[in-house]
Amino acid sequence: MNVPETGRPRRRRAAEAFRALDAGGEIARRRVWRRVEAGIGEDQLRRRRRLRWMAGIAASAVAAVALVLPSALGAAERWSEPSAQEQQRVAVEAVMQMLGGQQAHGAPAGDASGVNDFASYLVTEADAGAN
Amino acid sequence: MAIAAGVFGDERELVRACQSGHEAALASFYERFFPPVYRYVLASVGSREDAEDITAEAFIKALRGIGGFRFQDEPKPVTAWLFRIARNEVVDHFRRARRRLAPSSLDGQQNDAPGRYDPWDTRDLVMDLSRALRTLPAAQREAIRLRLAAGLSTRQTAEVMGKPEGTVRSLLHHGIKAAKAAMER
Repeated sequence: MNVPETGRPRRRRAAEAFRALDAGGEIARRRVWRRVEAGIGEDQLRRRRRLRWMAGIAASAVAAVALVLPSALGAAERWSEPSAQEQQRVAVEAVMQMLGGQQAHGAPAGDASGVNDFASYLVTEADAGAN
Repeated sequence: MAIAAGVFGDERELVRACQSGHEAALASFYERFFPPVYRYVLASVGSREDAEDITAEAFIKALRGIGGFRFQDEPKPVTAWLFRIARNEVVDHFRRARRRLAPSSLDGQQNDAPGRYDPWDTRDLVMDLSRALRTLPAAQREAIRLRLAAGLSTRQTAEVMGKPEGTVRSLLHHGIKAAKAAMER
């Protein structure tokens, strides 16, 4: 015999309520999944777009570097190369050191201007010979 | 992507597959955790429509953030992590509702309209349960939602709540008594 709904005892309401949480659960599961799936799909699309954007930026950066690098290297090379005057000075100093070392054995010390002139003469002659 | 059957037996294996973006793993994760999370949310908010919104949002957040999840020493930390996300979503829902509506209209007043209220309709039952739980102290309410609505074990409930199992048992004992009294008077 069917018991009318209104006649059901209130003392079972709490237990019934917990059971009622399952009602329609299967439909909810499918409905919610569709939204979760759409949410994840949106995320993946956004991530793919971001990756494409980053790859584009990286490619532009590489292209810019490839364009600028050769002229930058040339400028750096020119900047670091010593001038002809500097080369001459260094060579004269080296020859003076060699001559100074020899002079210590034979000539009196302090006569630097003569040694300097002679060293300059030797370097100039050596350059002329090399050219 | 259709919902796949659970092929990932081990929880760690499932989470790792999700972390590497395995689509079937994401579906399997949802399959495994939807029932307890949905029941928990439904018992919290009392409305199936809101529960679906909140559950969807919780899963999207969880699956979005699963890459950053790290296993620690707990045996089942995923459950605790996921339920914390769901709880935050529920809290946000009530915060938004409070901002939108006056406090007196928070509990779904349409069910109380004369001539429409059926105490044995499952919608009303669920709404009644949610209301009865909201009259309890926060810790008792949370213990009941996790243990009885979501169907977690006492240990898992304790993990989610960050409380000792003994405390959870005591909360459940007092909470169930109070909830029954609130629903059956």
